[in-house]
Amino acid sequence: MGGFLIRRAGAALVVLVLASMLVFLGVRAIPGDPAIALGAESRDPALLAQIRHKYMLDRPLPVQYAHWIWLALHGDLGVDQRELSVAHTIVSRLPITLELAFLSMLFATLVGIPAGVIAAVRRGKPSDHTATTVALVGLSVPHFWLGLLAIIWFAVDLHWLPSGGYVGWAHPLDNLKHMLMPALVLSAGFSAVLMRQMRSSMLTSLGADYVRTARAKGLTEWRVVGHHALRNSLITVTTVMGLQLGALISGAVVTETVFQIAGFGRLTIEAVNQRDYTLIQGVVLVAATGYVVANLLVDVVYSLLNPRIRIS
Amino acid sequence: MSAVADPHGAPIINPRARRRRLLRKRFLRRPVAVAGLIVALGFVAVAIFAPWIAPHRSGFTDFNHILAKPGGKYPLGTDELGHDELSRIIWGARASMQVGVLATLLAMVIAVPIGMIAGYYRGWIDTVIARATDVLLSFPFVILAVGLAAILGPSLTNATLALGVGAIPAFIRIARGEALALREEDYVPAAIANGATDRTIIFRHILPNMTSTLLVQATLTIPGAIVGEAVLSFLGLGVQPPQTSWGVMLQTAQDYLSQAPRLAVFPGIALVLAVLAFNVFGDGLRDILDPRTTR
Amino acid sequence: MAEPLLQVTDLSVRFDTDDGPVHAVDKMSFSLAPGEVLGIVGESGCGKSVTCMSLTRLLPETATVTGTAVFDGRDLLTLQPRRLRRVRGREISYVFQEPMTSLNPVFTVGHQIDEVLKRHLELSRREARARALELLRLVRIPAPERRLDEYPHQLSGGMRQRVMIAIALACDPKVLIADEPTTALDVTIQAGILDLMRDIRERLGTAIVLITHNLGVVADVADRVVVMYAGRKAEEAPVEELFAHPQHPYTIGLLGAIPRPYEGEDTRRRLQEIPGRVPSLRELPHACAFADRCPRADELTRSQIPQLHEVRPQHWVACFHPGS
Repeated sequence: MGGFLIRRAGAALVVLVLASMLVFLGVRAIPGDPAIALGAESRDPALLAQIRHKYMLDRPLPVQYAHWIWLALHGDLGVDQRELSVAHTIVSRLPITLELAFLSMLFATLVGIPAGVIAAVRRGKPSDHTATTVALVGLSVPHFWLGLLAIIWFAVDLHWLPSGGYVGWAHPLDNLKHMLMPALVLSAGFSAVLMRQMRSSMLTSLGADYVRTARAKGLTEWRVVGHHALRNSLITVTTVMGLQLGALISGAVVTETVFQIAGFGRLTIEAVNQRDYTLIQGVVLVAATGYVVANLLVDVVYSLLNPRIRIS
Repeated sequence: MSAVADPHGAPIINPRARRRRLLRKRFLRRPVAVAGLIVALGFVAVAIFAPWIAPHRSGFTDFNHILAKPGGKYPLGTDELGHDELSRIIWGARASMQVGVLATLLAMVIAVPIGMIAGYYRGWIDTVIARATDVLLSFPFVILAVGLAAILGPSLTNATLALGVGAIPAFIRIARGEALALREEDYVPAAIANGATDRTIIFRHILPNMTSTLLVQATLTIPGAIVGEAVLSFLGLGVQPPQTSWGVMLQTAQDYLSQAPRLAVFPGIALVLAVLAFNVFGDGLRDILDPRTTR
Repeated sequence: MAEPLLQVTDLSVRFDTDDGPVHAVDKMSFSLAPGEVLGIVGESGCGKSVTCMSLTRLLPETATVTGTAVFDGRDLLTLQPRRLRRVRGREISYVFQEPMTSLNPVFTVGHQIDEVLKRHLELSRREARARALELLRLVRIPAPERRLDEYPHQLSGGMRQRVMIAIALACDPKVLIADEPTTALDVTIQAGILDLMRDIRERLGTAIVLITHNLGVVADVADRVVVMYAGRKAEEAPVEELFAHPQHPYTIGLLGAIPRPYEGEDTRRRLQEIPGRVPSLRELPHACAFADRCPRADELTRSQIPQLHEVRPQHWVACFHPGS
């Protein structure tokens, strides 16, 4: 297992470095004087000179890159157009998005996995068809539209839940009330994917030879499905989680926009709309890093769960 | 290919034609997939014939009837600027289909050769391509689009680009996997022994054998691209007004949720139908082409 | 003959597939006496595995099974599921062909043996572990204490198969059904497994049904042999009798196809193959299934299904033209 993880970590590191280079070059690829871009389109020559000096724009690119990475590793991602520390802004908004993501994953797991198992066990029967159809629709409905519909229904018509905004943890009940719709909406696509993956994985497991052996041993169907097949399927499904995290982050951006939640996701959109390149740079870097790290964690979990990798 | 006889004298029908018939039979036994195909083709037709079908041309506004309820002259009502919703939906279909299909094609044209090369040659080329794909994958799709929009500015073309780039990793993985498996087939060393170059093998032997898998993936990528375009336009990163797409319509609908919820409902329904149709068709296609898939 | 342990009568199995029904087994009948080793022989696809898996209803739902299989006074094919599950693993157990995929890769060997013990026997933790170790020693696995905590992928193919046998013997069953137990293993390992089977029969008195396509294996271990072809029984006899006086042309063909490498030039002869292919199992032809490939075929064999009849003592054959 150690070897497997070291290789994965190494690959992740390479990917991160390359990705950071891409981000770095991306900002430099914007047509026009980078100093202006990074200085929020101010034309004041003194300010521009200051920016040029700070970002080492007169030095060769590799030096600029090294300098930038060095600063980033120390937590300094520069300041945005409003002279606020980018790192600080990100850190203050990130927990909100993380809470949203966590709640969505929770809902998706609680719904998707049991649904997939039931659909597989009752393959071909009405409950399977229903579940599969619901999942297909869930995949096809863009969740921002679902969000709009939910707002129309629950907030405007029924006044049950607030239509947006965020309340901090000081008021936990209020916080959950505000997070409920966004998290449910965001979890829709994820649960559909989970359900399909789980169903497919369970069908494979249930058709495997070891399930036949389990039945031949005289074990009850409950044990055969819930112990033998399920364990294998759950392990297989973990690999899917990693890919879905990316979709979750993308979804968070949209969901926060629909529900007016001032989280990390919405920050990315604000940054683009304001053409705040320092902020964009910092945001994209953090998003990519977070995603790569999250995937690595998923790999770790997988290797712990799968005996074939744990003990190779 | 004419009929061939086997050693015992029994005639063997052209295997390709036989397979096609079998596939058609299996497909027709799945009414849902057939429905999906029909609806999907319907949307494509609407997109192509939009200039002839839409009751009003793309920029038409009627300031005397803003936010009109459905009925009469405007079957689906009008929006806050007096655009006819029905026409907008039809024109929106054009944008969505365009982006969906073009982004998928872009991804395929770039990714399939790269994937095939990676899978066929393996070794260091494979590792380099794998790392590059990983780098691409390390940016969640919206973040990628945000980045591209920041550099190139938001527009329909750039949205197509972002979506195409986002779809590349999946195609690379599939093309690579198929090439990896197909290069082990017996006809490869046979072809080499006959003097075939690598290029001949890749394009004449390996590529034709992965068309069904690629077709399935393409059919399932298009709806993703359509939704992606809607998302990007909704966020302001894609199609810009006055051009319209379903995503743009939904963005403006946001401000009128309490007054005119139908502005959000109609484009959304169109979106869901189109995506569902392609998904259902693609699923059905995958089922019939790969009997080993557990369904 | 003593009261048979297992009596199968007119067993038929039909699979409903996407492309139509497949008749895998057509009116098979056989019996198994206590402590006996019955070999069921035939080429791939002749229905031998399907026959045996249908006994405790291990076939997928697409299979329709008719006939009776009386074991210990009860018909297994109509037994309530709850009671059937008590027969499985406890009185009738299986060893399958592919040991790697037949063991669950995510649980340890010890866990998988424990499981069947816990299900059927009331044993304390210590007793169960002791029994597990005893079983591993019985199947001659070295260092059994270590093996209990290992995963299937850490063991070799031969050892995995031994573990399967250990699991099958855990509750001291009356019948052990071994479906091609050695086919997936190296020839050198095969001998060891067969030795083990002989050992089991002698020490524990377990009746064994040994399914194989390899006549050599059967000659080694079996008391009686059933030859199957295209879902039907072709011939049945005690093992020496079958090898000495094969009656059915198919059996004769099979015996002729056994490679016999000898030293010396005078025994150099061409391997005789049986021409043609196994018929499709989609229709049940009203004729002898072997007719197309049989040197003795004639109008009679092409128009009627041959029935089993006793041509020599204890030796039955379903053929219109039997004879060595």
